[in-house]
Amino acid sequence: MSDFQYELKDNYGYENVVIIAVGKSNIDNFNSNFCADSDLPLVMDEAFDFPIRAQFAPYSDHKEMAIVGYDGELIGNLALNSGLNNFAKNYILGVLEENYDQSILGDINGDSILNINDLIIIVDFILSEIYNESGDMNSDGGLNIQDISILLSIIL
Amino acid sequence: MLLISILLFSFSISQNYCPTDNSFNNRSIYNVGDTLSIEDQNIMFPVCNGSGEYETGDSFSFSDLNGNTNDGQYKISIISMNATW
Repeated sequence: MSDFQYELKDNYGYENVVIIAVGKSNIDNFNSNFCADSDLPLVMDEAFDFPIRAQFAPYSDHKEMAIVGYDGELIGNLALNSGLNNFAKNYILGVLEENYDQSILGDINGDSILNINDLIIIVDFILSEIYNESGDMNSDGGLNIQDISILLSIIL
Repeated sequence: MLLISILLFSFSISQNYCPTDNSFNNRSIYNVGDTLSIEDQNIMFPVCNGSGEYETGDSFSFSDLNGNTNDGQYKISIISMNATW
């Protein structure tokens, strides 16, 4: 699975995708074996309530997977009973294709990160009286100081 | 014999990798299209194997990946459930 993260980045340009493995805190053998053999981060789902699994049921058993979008939206889930085969990869790629490039409010340069670069571009747009929907933080149909203020508060 | 079994079971439970905080009752269940509540996104979970942006001993929360709550770094996360090896 960790190789797939590199594949997503190197072959498809999905840099802002992270794969997180979720273990169970009550299975020591799994934890130690996983840590020895994987370079994915392993997050402990804590026995015996298993809160991470609980929120993604029924896609929460061993070899199942949930995909969470930019703002915490559950955008996909799949059982990987046959491993990460082509069907599973195509499913994930489809979900990413549908969700990865969606416009992030304020992300004017489209790098999926809100930072000073976006702020500079918005200022340029305001000075040039150019409208850009991604920069219209309060969705009032125009770019102005209020949009800068909202973006700044997110960045800071 | 029963007492020894109970003691052994208790000992095995106490040997977990990470300390647990069993305060997660009445959790929401999400379907595709639902957004995790801010409260659920902010719950911290122990990282027992560090990699990438996480080191062993760090805490993970879904809000780490939400650009609205982490200074604008938006990430899509693939959460892989694992239970055996």
